[in-house]
Amino acid sequence: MHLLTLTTQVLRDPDAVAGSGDDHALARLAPPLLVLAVGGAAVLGLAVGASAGPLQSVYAAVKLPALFLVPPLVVLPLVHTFAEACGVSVPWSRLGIATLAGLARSGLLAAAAAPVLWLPFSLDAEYHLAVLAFVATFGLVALPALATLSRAVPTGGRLRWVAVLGTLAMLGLVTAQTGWLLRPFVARPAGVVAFLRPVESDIFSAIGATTRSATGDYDDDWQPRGSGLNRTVRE
Amino acid sequence: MSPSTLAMMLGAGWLLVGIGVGGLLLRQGQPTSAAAAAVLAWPAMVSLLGAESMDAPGAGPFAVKITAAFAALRAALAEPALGGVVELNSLQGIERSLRRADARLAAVDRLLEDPVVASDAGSVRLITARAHAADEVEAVLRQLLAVRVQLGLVALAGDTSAVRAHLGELAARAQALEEVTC
Repeated sequence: MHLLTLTTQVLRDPDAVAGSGDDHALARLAPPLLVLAVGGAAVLGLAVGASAGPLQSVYAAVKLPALFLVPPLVVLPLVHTFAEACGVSVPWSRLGIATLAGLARSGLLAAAAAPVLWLPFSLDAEYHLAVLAFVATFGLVALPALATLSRAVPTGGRLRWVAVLGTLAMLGLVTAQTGWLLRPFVARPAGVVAFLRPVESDIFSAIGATTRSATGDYDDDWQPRGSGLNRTVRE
Repeated sequence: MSPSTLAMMLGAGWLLVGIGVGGLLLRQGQPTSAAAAAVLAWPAMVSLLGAESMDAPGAGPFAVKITAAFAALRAALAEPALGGVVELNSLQGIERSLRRADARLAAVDRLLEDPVVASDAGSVRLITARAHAADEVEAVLRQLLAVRVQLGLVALAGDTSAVRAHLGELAARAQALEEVTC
């Protein structure tokens, strides 16, 4: 299928793309869907990193597609098993193509949102506001992917809603923490541009802190704690 | 261990598994583009391991209809209320026969595009045989729709014998396509 035709179909009717989920369709559609997802995410990455210079743009353009792809793909076996446990049988190929179709749609929306985000970033937006704007944009463009994936779970069965909610919760948690591990996407004004920061604390404490900082409350200044493999190095 | 080293190790591990899956897909005759996509997105594509190669049957005039019909049927059979009514594997034989018939129709169509062949006196027989084969393929596709209707009745009444009998009949008819179109 031509890439432009597929782009139109992914934007207008992603469920039709996701619904054509047999193995032949998966082999045929996976490559162009992957191109759309990775390309769109990379464009958003370029815009997000622009405030800290071209090097940060390149870093963010490499990491953001990883943030798009890795969480849903890592969680996929868990989603499949969870759905089976809830009595909802989803063929693996259908799940795979629905994931890629959702990611492609989100990638296209990310590319569309890139200029909107790039404008305030290029006007020297305050760091914490910039981080929140990025998180909000990412959350918004990720919603269609979650919706496409949840609609791929067949109807029927009393526990379908448990399977869908469980899927969304797992994806949300893994995506949030993956994003935290892959930061910085938005470089600190006085910070050194780096591909990755040390492994510190978790996403939820950091969002709370950056929200307080964005409102001018610096009293309870957040200090990251070394964790995981970095614990012995940093403490 | 620095985070960059850790990230590079994880990334390299991910790509190595992806390259392995991609290589296996290539050996199975899957398209190169699908194998390349599997390098990055291998968890979504592991179901292609063991799937029938796309290279074997050439896409013909009914390829889209066949894909749509079986995708819809498999989606219906994936409903919890219809679980176990029919083994999904039992559909593969019917699909394989249909795709082979479709590929032969495509080959005939390509032959008939040649003015030399089309103008030959014997081509009338070929055109008639092609039309007959196409009618048979369409008939099997219509019956697949009827199976979906019967599945709805199974969901309500629970009697699976009619669906099994219908699928058996379809399998025989699809098998006969091999002879009709030869």
